[in-house]
Amino acid sequence: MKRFSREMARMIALVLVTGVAAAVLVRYSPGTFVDERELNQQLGEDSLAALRAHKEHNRNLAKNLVGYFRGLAHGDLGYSESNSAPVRQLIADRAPETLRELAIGLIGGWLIGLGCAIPVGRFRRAWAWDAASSGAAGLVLSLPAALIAYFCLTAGAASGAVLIVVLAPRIFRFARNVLVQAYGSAHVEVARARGIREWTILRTQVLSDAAPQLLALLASSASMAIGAAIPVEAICGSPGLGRLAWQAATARDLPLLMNLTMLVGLATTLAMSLSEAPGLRAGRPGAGDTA
Amino acid sequence: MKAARIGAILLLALVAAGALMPERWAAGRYDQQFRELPDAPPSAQFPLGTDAVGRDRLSRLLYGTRVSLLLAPAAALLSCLAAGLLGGIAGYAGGFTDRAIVSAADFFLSVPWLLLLLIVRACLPLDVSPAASVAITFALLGLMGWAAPARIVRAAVASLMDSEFVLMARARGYSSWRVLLRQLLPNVTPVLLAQFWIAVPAYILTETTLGMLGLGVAEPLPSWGGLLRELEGVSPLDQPYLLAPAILLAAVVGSLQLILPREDYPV
Amino acid sequence: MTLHRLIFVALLGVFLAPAIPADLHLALHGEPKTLDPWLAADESADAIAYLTEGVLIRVNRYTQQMEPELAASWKTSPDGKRIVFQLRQGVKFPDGSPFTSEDVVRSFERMLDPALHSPTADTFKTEHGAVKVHAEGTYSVIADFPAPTASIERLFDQVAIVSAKAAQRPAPGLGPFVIDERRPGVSIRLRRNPLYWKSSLPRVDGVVFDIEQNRDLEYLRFRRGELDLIEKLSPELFDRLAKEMPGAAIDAGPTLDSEFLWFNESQRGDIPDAKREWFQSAAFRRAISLAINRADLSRVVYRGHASPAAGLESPANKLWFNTALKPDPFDPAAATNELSRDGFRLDKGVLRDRHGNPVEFSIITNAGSKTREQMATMIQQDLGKVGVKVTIVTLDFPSLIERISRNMNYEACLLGLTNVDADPSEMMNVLLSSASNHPWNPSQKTPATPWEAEIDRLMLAQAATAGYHARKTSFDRVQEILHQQEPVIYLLHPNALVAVSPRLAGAKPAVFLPHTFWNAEELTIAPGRQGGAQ
Repeated sequence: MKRFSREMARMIALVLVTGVAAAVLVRYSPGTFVDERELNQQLGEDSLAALRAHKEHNRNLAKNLVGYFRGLAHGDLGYSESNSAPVRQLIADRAPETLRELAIGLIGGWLIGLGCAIPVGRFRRAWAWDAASSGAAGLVLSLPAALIAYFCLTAGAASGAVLIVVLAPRIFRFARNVLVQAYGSAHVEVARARGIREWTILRTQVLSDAAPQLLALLASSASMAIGAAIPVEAICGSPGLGRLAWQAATARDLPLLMNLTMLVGLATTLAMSLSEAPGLRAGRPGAGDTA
Repeated sequence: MKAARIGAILLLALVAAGALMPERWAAGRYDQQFRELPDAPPSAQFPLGTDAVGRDRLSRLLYGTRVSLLLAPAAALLSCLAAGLLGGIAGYAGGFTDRAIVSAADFFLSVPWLLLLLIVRACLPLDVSPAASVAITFALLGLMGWAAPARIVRAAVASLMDSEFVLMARARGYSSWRVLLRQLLPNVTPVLLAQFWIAVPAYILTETTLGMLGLGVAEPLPSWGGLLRELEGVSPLDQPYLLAPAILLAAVVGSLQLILPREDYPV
Repeated sequence: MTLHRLIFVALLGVFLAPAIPADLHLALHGEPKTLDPWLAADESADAIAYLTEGVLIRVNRYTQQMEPELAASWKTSPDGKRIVFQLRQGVKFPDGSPFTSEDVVRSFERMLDPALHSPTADTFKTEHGAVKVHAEGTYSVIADFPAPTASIERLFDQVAIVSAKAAQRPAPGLGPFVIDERRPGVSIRLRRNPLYWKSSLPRVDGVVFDIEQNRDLEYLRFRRGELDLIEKLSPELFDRLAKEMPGAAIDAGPTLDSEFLWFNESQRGDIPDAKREWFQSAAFRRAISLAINRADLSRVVYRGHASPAAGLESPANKLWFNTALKPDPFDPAAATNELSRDGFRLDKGVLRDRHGNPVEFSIITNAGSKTREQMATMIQQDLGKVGVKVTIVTLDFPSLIERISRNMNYEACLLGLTNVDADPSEMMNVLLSSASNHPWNPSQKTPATPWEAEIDRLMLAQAATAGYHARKTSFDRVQEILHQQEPVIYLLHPNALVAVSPRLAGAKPAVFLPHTFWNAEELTIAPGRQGGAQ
């Protein structure tokens, strides 16, 4: 329990620090105090000055942060100027789309990944199947998520489908190794010799043996999906949190960006802590594997 | 498996050779504009056709390959060195240092790196040449990418610290330096090497994503990401030659993955 | 029995009625920054205001003629200082309240309120004071300007008249549509205004604007039949559409927009003195202009859908364009001559100034615009031929604006301007040397050069004159000075490239904004959503 609460405290602190870091980045990035409308030649000096003055309130970072956290304590996430809407409303409006995409991506990715991996473990002679699925997985893994998004887009597929294509090979690769190992264990041999049905063996022996690793994979695949969602949504233009984050970054929308960074940070750290919980250990995405 | 690996190495060597001598294969320099022939389909002179302002696509592809093949390993090296150092210290020291470094790694993993890149690019002085700005981008990626491998190095070092031979070495009264150099370093090197091989294709892919989001290499310098932007909204079936950078990218990244020892595959 | 029959008929009616509303679908490239029509200053907000608000006089985007809208008629005094409107009777706001002169007077009062900072109000304010609007009876309104004002009636095209009684802001307007539903950053749906004063219009049930920044995606969605109109196509996508869906791609002709390059001549900013000296030299700027191949830019980047520019006014602006001016020809030899007269010399392919410094500078432009990146690349190669080394830097819009309007840390900038109105007074905020948007050297206390002082004088004079010929003479001279001095190197005037779905009837794309939906109320949609051409 103590360990759990310490871990929670660490996570919350981390998320807050990430939020503050995002705020500092925005505050000191060029273009924070400008408005695109300034280039409108119809604007006279008076309205131009008003427009400029309006952006100046971003300048006092400490005051903004205090204001933000004070609001946060009351459940107020601030106001997004680039979208002229409260951040809370925006997140509530977009989250279902992203969750739906993530769910489609994860479920589809797992069905395909695991579905391809089980026969490889089950049938020793399935080398052709193994080679074909590994080859296909290797090919997809060699392409950036953004390019897959282009292809899916021209084919008329939605961003959920892109996530399936991105996630399935990664899940397949890891699950394949785990399942081959699990199927190779001695008690599976014994069960087969006793004439137990394959389905039962898969359920009771193989999957339960591999459960910790597969659970860890579930957590890390979730964090991969979150990471892939931003470029995929930005390219496919689906109205989710990923596109919102991209818009917020280009518009220097401080409250929105802070909230989204913290949200992504929370989801990522949660997934990471889960995948590293005692008993659950899986390989982790490599360095810079943000694509 | 071995044959596939040898094939992969040969392919990489071929690509590298092509990229190092683009003028041997292509009609013009990557920035030379044949303005009478914009958007030309493939021909004997331009095997992959020309782009919107009449530049030879093959030449641009080969130069872009050079950019990716030179800079991705450099960034990978940078991140692995940082990861080895910080992960090693965390695993070796344990306690507060360990927790601090792990927290820092988690922080780096959740920082909005796209925003950071956007900002760094906007802050660069304007007279920085395109080559220098792309080098800076990669350096930044390398510096930011230390966190994930560092966690793995840390775990490896921490488990080594508990291993019998390290305990024995310590019991014999060997100095910390000797333990570090004789026991730890040789055992961690393969982990770092594996991380390096994982990181190279990851950085190549990151560059292409950046390029496709418009944050990549500045004109007129070509890069894979920039070249792939031509595919945006186009049906590849109509102009299959536009797929050339995607195919080359898949071949190179795929070969790098084949070279990687199988058991070290990342998820 | 009768009851049963009634229910049957009612059910039949329900089933036969069109289940899906016939909405017009199109994309906006950004979230409207405001829904308050008086504060609209971005394209998206303008689009919403155009469709939801009623104005006294409407400038027909196609014919460029002024048409009576909420004012059934009007009369301008000969001195150009007074305009009397007779309002249309029987017009009702969406809430059912009648439209009267009180609404007009209150609308002007609120819009001119200094605390509101309305950009629309700026055009009604002069150094002698603001316009005064008062009612005379229920259906007559008089607007008095403190000084003679040029093309006085056109100004009223911009002023939304809202209900004086409504407490909410933005108050419901008198346009063909009203705002129905808004998902911030995703879409805005307008539904037809049932009380719209033009009976039987609009013909469509509503207009759905999807917020879509990505133009390639907009194109794909148009091809799939999800969008009915595209306001602005890139030349590349236009050519592709013309091949894939002949008839859907329409080149409406040259616009008033321009693409241009200028050098930073400001004293602020972190630029080496040597470079500032080049940028302030008219000969240098003229040479750069001569060294750029405008015909190639038009042919290669715009695929022929643009015309080389001679100055800030496009020949499409027939009323105000100075026909004596011709675009600078592409002439590298003349450019080199011009440069050598100014002390520059070519040394082993590198141009050097009189102190021996190699001539090199950076051009900034906005990231994400393929046409502008391609233009920059071609300019880079053209200038390379006269020994000038150019670095291209693409920046996202906020960073770019910060450099060109705040810290002035840039050397040259390539950008475009969308011209909304044809009148020269529209250029006031750009051409006056004291203006913050005076591109090459903003916010000057006193004009830095004699020719800028002359432009100031001429611009102020034309704005305070009501007669066309006197104004035209002044503005011709302004164009001539700009052509001689080239503080801004005008490159091209792009054409209006739009897409209209074959299932739409009544579309008449115009060169003025909004290109495609300026007559949205008259558009009809063929039943059934058809896919794009295969």
